[in-house]
Amino acid sequence: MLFNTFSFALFLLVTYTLYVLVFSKNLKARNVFLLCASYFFYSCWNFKLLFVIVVVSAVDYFMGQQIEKTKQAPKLEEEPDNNSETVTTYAPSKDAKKYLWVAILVNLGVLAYFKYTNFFLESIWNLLGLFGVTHDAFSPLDIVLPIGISFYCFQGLSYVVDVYKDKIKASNNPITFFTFIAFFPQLVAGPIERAGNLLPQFDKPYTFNYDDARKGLFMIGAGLVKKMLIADRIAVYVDGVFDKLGEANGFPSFVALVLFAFQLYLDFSAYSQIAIGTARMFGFKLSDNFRMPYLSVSFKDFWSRWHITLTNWFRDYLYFTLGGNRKGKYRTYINVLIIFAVSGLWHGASWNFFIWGLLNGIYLAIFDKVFHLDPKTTLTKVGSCLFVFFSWTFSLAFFRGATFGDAIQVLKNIGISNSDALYNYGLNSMEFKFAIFLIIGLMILELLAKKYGEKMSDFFFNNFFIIRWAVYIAIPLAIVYLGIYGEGNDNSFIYFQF
Amino acid sequence: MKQPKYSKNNLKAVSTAKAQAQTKIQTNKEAKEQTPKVRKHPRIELAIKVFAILAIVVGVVRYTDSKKYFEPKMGFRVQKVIPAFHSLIEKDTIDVCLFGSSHIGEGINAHVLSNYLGCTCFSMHQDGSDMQDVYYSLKDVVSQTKIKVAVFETFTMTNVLGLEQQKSKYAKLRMLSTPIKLEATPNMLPLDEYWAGWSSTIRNHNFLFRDTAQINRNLHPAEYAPQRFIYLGSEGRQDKCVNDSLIAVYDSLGPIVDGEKVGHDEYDLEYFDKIIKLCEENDIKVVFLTIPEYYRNIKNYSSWKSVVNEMIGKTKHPWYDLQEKYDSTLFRREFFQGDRLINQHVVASGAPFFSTVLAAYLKDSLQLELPDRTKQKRWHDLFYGSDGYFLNYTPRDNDTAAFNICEGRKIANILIENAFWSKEGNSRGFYVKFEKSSFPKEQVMKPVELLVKGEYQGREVNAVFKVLPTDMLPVRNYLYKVGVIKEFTPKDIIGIRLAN
Repeated sequence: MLFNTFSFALFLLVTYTLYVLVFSKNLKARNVFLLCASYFFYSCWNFKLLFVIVVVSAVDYFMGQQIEKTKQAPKLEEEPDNNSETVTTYAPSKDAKKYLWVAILVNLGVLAYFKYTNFFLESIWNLLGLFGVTHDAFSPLDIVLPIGISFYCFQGLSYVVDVYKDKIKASNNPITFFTFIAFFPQLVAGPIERAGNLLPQFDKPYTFNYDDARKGLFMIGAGLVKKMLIADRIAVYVDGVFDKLGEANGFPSFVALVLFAFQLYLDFSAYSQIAIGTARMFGFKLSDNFRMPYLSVSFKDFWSRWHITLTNWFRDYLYFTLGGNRKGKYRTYINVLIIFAVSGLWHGASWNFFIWGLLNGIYLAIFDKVFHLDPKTTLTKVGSCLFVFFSWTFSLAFFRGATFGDAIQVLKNIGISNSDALYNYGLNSMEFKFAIFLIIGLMILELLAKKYGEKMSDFFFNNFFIIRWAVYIAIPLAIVYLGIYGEGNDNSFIYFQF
Repeated sequence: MKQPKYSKNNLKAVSTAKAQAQTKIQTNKEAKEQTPKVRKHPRIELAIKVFAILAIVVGVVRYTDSKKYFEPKMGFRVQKVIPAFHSLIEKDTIDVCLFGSSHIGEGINAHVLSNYLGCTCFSMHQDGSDMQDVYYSLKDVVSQTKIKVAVFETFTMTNVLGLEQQKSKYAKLRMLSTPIKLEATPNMLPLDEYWAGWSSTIRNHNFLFRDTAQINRNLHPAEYAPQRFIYLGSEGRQDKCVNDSLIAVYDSLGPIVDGEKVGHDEYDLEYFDKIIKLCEENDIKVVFLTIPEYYRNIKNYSSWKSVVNEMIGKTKHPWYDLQEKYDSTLFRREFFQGDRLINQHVVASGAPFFSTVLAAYLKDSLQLELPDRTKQKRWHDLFYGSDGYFLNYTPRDNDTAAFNICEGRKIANILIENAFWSKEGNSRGFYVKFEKSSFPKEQVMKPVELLVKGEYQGREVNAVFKVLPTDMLPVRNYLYKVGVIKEFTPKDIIGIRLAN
């Protein structure tokens, strides 16, 4: 069930109505209802693979409980702080470590089986092929990738690690915990929530808040506009070029790559916006996933604005575990490269994603850490902003290309010739210009939002009755009349595949 | 003593008060912005607002639907068939209704069929139909008029086209009447496509960027008004027929359709049973018809036939299989589409032939009791001059486009049922219908020479015309035709000479 479908609208209407009118009065009933709704939401895609979520949730819940029990007789270590006073820090027991490893193995094992089995087998097969051991093409095993597996496994894993590190207490309520893992707004493509943020929200009783409901609905509408008017329209052109790489020489390929950068951002940020808006309607506050990444002036800045919850996850659970920047300059570079390469593979089981991740790690290591990209003046900021954007766009050739060959081909194609052929790839002149106009409009809105922040939305929601209502009505009308949907269009979200 | 109005102190006091007032206003404003508005019934308020917005959106969409701004070209036949059906049943009763895919739409000319059967026929065909489409079309027809015979084309019973059959479900659904559409929607479309099924705006909203010319036509319908004529659902759009180059293709590639690869699924069976049940409940005579393809287009037809027979064999209804009864003498290659396709059609010139063949089967072989409407003025007015009319009936008195030359004349033991002259565009045709039973069997489909008395440049002359058999196979007679120069007006037939 995609967010941009009639079935989701119907699901949301029914679920929200029941939630507000029937189930909100009793906390336990509310959570049971949310769990059922979330499982129903997931089973609309594949009922059988619901068991993966249940198994992962059960293992994480149980391991969390076991780790918590080991804390009942905690080992305490004494650490001197700067003022030479004695403070106590929790030191996990061996048993706790054992349970943690079980959780890690199960979560990563499930992820590895469903997502990476064919990738590893194919890589080995091809490697053997190089030595003349295998000759035929690799036949992949018939493994269906459960939607959202990378997201909920990481969410579950972070919970167990946080319990282990005593950052949070283990949940004592299986319903609450299972709902935390399967909460439908963020189940299939994040944001990847920390238990410390989301789990306690399931223990708070719900009271209907008009502003939350209104703003949530508005976020859903705005997300749908981004997705259906801009991202899906750009996708027609990008797909057109990538389907005909042999002939799309010069300018069309350059434009396709730049537009793909916008498509990816708009598609995923739209998804996140709809997820956050939906959760807000139900009284939950999810973490932001994007903060105007294309206005970043350095790569560090970029990664603090792009897919924030995932970047933070890798920072907290992998980068710091590897030692972060505390083990010397060169080790820091290596750590950066490791987390970006792993992040690439997290996105997709292919060498293309690995290269994409590695490239971004190299950008960060070289330009930020070696050359200290840190502009001060407006002019250098604009220059840096463009540099970061185009470097990122360059790396996206590997993200979008179906194969390594495709990625190289599109990079080879890039040029300024053949500009007459711009409208030969699915969008006519009028539609192409309309898409560009919308992108520029959105960027201006983002600039304004950057400057005025929350004040802008508060001002909008509390003033301009006529304009506000015009916007409320224009959003669904724009989706109906100007959106890309219907026969022959693939309207799925890009990050659903991860 | 009264203080001066604008003393320094006073001004200071005034400005301080003003500043205080301004600060107060500002504070109030900020407080107003920060304090959420107190709402008595927030849930009801939200619900009302959401439904108000939805109502406005639905209203706008309904408006553009009703104005037909997003309708596709009227040449798209699914869009034409059902409105034509509704306009016809306002004037006349439909006796024989044809159901199926484009094969029957192109292969049977409902005008010709009507004129040979003497009752009203309509082709309720839809491109790429499957059994579900046929069922809902039948249900829609039955809910609005009383038909006597339903002819079902068998191409719809197989999955030759696969997913192609789903293509125009939106349009098909859209054209059904509301109660049937309500019932059909959940069966024909997935949940996410309901809207598209009910609204041309939603279905074709991409016209805004991709077919502005069509929107322009829809905005100015008067300038693009379709031609008004009686439309019975038949189409004859194909005219490129099988030729030597296609024969060469068949020689090298062989047939394209393999009967062994044809099948059907439970879904087809389910709707087939529903169709039969509905017909039986409404006392409708069921006939199955297989429109032929060029014989070299298909291999293993017996396998295909057995697939269809799995359905039809369960019933006792007759099946007229023209593919099996393929007659390579009568079924000329000019009757078939000149492409090696998986769904090869009959062309425009072949449709009248197969229509008369079907008419003969219904009337002579099945001896169906169909009403004779030829005497009814309303029927006559509706069909007079339409395809096939003159070929089966006598022209009207005082008609300028056609006149009768002779009727019921017996010459050399051959009964001329009727002979007439007709004007077809710039050409003039001379038609003769020989009564079948009196016509020597060995002369069928061979030219005949007629001695005709007529007027040429004001003088009465006798002329010999070699008339040729037409592709029409009227029920009661053999039809012959020849073109005549416009200066010659035939008056009577006075002699016949058969070919040696």
